[in-house]
Amino acid sequence: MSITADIIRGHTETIILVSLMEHDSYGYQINKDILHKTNNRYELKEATLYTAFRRLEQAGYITTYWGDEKVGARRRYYSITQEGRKACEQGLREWKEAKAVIDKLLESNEYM
Amino acid sequence: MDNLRIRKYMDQLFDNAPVNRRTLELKEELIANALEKYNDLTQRGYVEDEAFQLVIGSIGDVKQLFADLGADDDYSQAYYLQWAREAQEKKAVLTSISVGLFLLAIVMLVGSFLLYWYNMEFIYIHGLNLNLLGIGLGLLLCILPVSLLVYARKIQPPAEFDYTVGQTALRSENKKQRRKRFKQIKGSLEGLMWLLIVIFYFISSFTTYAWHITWIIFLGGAAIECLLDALTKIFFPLDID
Repeated sequence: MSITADIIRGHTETIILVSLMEHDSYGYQINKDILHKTNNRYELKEATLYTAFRRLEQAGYITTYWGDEKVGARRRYYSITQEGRKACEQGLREWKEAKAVIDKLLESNEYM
Repeated sequence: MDNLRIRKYMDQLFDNAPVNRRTLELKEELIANALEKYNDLTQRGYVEDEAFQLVIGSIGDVKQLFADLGADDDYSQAYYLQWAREAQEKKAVLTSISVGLFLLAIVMLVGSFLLYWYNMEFIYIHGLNLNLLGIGLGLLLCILPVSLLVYARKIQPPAEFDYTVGQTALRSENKKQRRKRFKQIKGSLEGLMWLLIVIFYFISSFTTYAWHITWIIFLGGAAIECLLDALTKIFFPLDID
């Protein structure tokens, strides 16, 4: 579990960008998506998630706005920018390359 | 409702956080998402206590988040600079109105005094002593600009952001520029004032023929200049060397 959790945490920013590619979203929704896609096995700590939001905001990859909820507390939505889309594609490329390299390094073991 | 419990928990969590707008927004965001998660969990059948523990358990270590918020001061700087510009404009308007009212009061006082001097007796209209009325109104009229100036002095930045950072930025940013401009404006205003005083001296002297006493206008002018000097030192301490 811990290796997967570490890898997920290491790719928090790309995971956020990917989920914003389809539509604008907010913190809890993004975490719900992660839970859903991993069959309720993984989710990000709030602290990790919001640190990543601030970093992405500073880099100009996402912008933020407040929703106008009629009931309950208002939500803070995030929306991906053009640079964010580029960074997302770059992150995916890097991940694919890393995955291929790790696969090769670990699976080429003839004693397995 | 356990909503209160979550809000209280967040209050405690943010007790040691730096006080600025970003932190307040983060807190609002965290509360909104925590409440939604809590409601989802209770709807899925979790007992209130379990749901609460799950919600606060997933928050994680917020210290790093706070460190980021404190270290990044660009936001409060920009916010403060914007506020400072608006406050400066407001203060300028209030000060000009006050100066205008002061001048009006002075004209009324001097006018009433000169009127008495010229006629050597009080002037009555419908039984009212016009001279004393003018002096009384002139003195009353002084109250308004004084209150306006006190109010202008009291304008403070809102408490919700860390303005000490922005303040130092503002000071170093355009201190020199402001001082230079301030000196120029002050110089031309003083020139204008003395020109008006000379004009006033000649007009009042030629209309009243009271040459033996009208020279006192220049003493009044010098007094006004000293007063304005003192006022600028009180209200614009940053702009004077």
